[in-house]
Amino acid sequence: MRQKGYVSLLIGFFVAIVLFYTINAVVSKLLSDTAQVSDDIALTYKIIDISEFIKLNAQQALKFSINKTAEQMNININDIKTDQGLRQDFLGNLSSIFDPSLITHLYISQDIDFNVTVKSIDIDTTNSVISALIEIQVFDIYGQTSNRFASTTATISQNF
Amino acid sequence: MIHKGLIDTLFLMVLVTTTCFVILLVLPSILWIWTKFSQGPCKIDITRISSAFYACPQAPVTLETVIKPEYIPLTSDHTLFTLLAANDTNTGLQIQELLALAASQGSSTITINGSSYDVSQIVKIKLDYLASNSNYNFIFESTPPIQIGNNGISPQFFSTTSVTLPDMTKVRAMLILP
Repeated sequence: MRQKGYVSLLIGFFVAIVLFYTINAVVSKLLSDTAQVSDDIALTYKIIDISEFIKLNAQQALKFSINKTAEQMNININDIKTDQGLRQDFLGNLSSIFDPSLITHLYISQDIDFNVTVKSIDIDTTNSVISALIEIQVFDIYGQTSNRFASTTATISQNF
Repeated sequence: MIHKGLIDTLFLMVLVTTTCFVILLVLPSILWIWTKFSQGPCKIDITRISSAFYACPQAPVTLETVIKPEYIPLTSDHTLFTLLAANDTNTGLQIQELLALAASQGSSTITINGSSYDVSQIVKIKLDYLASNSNYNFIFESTPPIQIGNNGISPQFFSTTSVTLPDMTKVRAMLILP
């Protein structure tokens, strides 16, 4: 009877060890998979957030660059409505001043980089609106394999 | 008829299994969570105890895995975006524009059309509303810098962007949430 007790003890201990490592392995695998999905979702949100920050900043950059261009050319902004030559000069200067990008190194520490390109700038003299079409590309630079890339365009408008 | 010795054996086996299972799996997890989040002065070094059982040095389910820290900067992203895009009813300008003007004028108090406005106060009111339990640290790296909130918060999780100034230079804005 005492021998049977020791055998039970050993069997019980063995079963407990097997149970422990089995459950541990299953739970770890589940959590690892979930964590990967969670990381992917978080990265997607981060990319979207950066795109939105770029659009928000571009709005202000366009407003200030219009003011700065008019100031540099020493003109009344409304003069570009009637003078086509002046409008072309203004557009040229505005294109060189307008920079919708963020400070580049901001997101490098978070393994994300971006490019912002001004595709075109148009002046609507009838409605007194200056519009800029910008292309935003955000991508992750994590490791050598995970390169997620998101590209979008946005039209930023500013009344003058 | 089942032999009495067999019932004893089975009972003992279940008892030992349950006891070992609790010691190996549940106890280290409880101790780990307790020591990790214990605020009191008394702490037990779980690595020493668990090594005696040859168990995990940490709980199998770590809280860092369950509560993804990546989502904390996302929360601060949304808060920072909402702050910068928000309109101030008194001046009629966006907060990002007010910050740009403050940086441009070199002071937290700015003058628009002859009226003075305290940008720090405007931002503080907005953030007290936007950030839960009003615990945040907002930094705008202008000259001089504008800092609002609790500057003791660890900068482990933060959101950052840049704000364009009237002279087209860019200044970093950062929001840290605990």
